[in-house]
Amino acid sequence: MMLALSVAITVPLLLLVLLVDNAHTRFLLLFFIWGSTAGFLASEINGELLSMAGITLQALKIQFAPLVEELLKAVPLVVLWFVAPKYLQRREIVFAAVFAGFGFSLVENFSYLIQQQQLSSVALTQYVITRSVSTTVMHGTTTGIIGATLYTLSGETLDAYGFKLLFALYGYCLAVLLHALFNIVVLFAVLGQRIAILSGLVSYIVLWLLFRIRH
Amino acid sequence: MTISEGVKRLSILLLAVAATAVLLTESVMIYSYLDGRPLLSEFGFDIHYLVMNSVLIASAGLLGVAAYQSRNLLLFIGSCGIGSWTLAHIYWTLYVYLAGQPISYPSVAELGFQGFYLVMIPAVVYLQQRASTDRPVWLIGAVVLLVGAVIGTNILYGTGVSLFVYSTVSATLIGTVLLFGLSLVLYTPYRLFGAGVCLFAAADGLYIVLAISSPVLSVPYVDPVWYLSATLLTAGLIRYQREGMLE
Repeated sequence: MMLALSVAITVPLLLLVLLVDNAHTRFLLLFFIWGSTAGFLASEINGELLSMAGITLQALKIQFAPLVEELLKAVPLVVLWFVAPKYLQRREIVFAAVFAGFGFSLVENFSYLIQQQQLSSVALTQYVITRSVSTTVMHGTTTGIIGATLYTLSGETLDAYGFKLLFALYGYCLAVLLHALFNIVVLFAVLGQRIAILSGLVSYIVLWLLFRIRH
Repeated sequence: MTISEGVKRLSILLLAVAATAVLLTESVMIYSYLDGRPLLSEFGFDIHYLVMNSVLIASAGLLGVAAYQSRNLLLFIGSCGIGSWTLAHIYWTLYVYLAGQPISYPSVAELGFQGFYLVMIPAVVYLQQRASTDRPVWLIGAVVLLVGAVIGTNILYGTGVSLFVYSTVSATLIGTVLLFGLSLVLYTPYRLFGAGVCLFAAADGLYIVLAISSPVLSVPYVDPVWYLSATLLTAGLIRYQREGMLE
């Protein structure tokens, strides 16, 4: 199912990429496409971990899945770091990273949506809204953190400190940790649905404002 | 760009609060130990973790504000380091309370705990270079010796791959920060910061040694060292910036 979902999203978008003239938009779309492909890959790897490594679903969600998912979402960023580092010097890279996170979340949201067919249409819409403004924002933010770290490292800001690889690893660690924290809060329903939606929306608005003010 | 007087005072107040909490917590635990009772009651643990997480959040937050006011990158790096350790500890606490069981070691929280060292290594090396004193001859040798000793011990005892990787990575990160921190205390004016990172690293090192023998572990007697060192780091960096030692 995940493969079909991933193909259903990526193929139209790939066709769209060919039609778009603007290089900036194409760049962002390609990251989005990678995100939705990563969603499929992550579900395959997570499935293998569940069946072969013998870990529980709870352990997968709050321990292993964030490790795998953040790594997969960040693949194009890592590739750019090695192959074409000049792309990382453009601030669009932070947006592109967020796009990859959103693309990933889209496939994940659809897969959860299909599993919830027993719900009424109102409950289903509520479910989708909750996921769209909480999980989607989380995925975008965590990949955005990795993108922002690499963007900062590609400039001269941290030249005096050296050890750029350690800072890059730090960005990944922080993204995984925030993802795991989000999952633990959601899994155990610590703060309830309203807080999940509110925190997602507030953090999105705060990040958007910060980004606009800085540039 | 200077740090406001209020932020400086708050950093000293936070250090004082942390020191008082450490004295109180350790006294209660020693008294309970001598009395043959558990170190902390259930309510005691709740308060202990509340204080610990609050002090850590305040330390990271205060250093973040100071970094913003002074536009100093080192302060921002310090805030990121303490912040990542704090997030990892919040994850650890939530897991223990919500899952109703201690988290097995190592867990995903390790990324946050080790994240502190990932950014502290550049920070201590940077301060060492800034101090305009020659790097002590023993420093690099001691780091290499430490890592070599950990690898040798692993080979000698024939440990598994995961333990080998885990202990070697931890020893490299923590050992480097510990030894560079020691050199900051001994040979540079950045003694307060050096003492903070040394204490932090020593506590983490002790915890890892204990955790290797018992993977499911809670060590309330070590906890106060972490939050005291975090406040030391915060107060130290803010003082250096205000006195122009980081300009």
